[in-house]
Amino acid sequence: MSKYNEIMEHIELNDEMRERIIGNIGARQKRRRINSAVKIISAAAACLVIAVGAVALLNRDKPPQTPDDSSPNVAKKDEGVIVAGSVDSEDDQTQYGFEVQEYGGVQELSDAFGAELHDITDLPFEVAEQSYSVMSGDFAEINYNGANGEYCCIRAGKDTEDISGDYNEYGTVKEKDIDGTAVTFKGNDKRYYLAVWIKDGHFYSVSLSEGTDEQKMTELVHDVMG
Amino acid sequence: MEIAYRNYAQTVFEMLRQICLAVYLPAAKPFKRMHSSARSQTAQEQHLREVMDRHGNRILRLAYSYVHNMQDAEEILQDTLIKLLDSAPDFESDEHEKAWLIRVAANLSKNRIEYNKLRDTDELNDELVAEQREDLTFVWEAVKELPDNYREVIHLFYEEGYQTDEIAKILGETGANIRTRLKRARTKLKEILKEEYDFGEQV
Repeated sequence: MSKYNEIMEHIELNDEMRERIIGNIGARQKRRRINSAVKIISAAAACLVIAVGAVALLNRDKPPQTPDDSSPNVAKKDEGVIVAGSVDSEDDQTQYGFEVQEYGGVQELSDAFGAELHDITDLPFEVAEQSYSVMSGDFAEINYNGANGEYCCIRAGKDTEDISGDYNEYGTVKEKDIDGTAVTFKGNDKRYYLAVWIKDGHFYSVSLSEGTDEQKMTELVHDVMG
Repeated sequence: MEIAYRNYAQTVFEMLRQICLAVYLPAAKPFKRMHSSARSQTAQEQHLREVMDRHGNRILRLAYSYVHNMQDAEEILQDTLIKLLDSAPDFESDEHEKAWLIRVAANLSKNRIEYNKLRDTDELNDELVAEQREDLTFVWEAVKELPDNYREVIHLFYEEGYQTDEIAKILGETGANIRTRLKRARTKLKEILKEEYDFGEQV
């Protein structure tokens, strides 16, 4: 046995450490389960309130209604044509679901969604799989997944609403000019996890599970901008 | 009335959709996370104990070789196990599982060195001094002097017994690069340790 092996034999995982680790991980999992439950209950409660409100509104004193031909949401019954937005339309029923449309590549995704996106060529981890999709017609998403659970998620919204999905509070928020566009970096201790910007009426975001430094995040944003 | 109903229904649909999206959006990886939450707590605990029995010392020692203190090394072991639960990878063999855990622990250790202030203690050194093992203390101090990327190769080669090509796969580098670093690390250790040097020269 070499001296190095002899040295390493002094480092042992003891029962106390084992129990501490099990306890810490158990507590963390419990917190996550509680957070998930709170989210689901909050959403359900909000849905219920809205549904009750809608029913109450419908049952109020009924105001006189005349068909408004100028409204794009109204189906013109007389003409027998179903206009976009009508809840009678089967296609439009699915519009209110959460369908995910997958695409084969970034160009196909950009063309279908109407916002300009480009692939990132040099991520800080090895990419095991990637996907291109449009979520409910609201935002386009590119996902790069690493073998160790790392991921990078690029999103582009149809308008300027924040669709990054990252609502964490970060200690460091920094604005930077990249190719004439103001980009906001968010992270902690010089490690950035999220970059967001608005360009040509679309909201864009890049988020990284493991974060990276300012230089690398700048390169990633630059890649996405093309 | 029918038109009013349609408008109300559409508004309600839209609001429900926004709420559901707000719940969905924060979870960029909602499906993967189901693995760990789906497993019952007892089964999960049993799984963690088995992994720690098989690989606990290995991960702890690797982490210690990077961070040089027990508290940080223990946290890296804990974070590695959390990654295991979250990712729930399908391992083809024990060897595959071992290599995966080593790779994750190495990455977590390097992140910690780069971005966090490490605790300024070295329990291993204190123990070697207390045991009056000056020879081992000398070797440990010499290994600690090596740059991080030399030290990880020394540890995986001598402690884990990996060949240089296997180390290259785990660290995501080329075999030639690993062999160069191993050679340079040995040269440096030889200079420092002189007669205490016992790092074999096989590759």
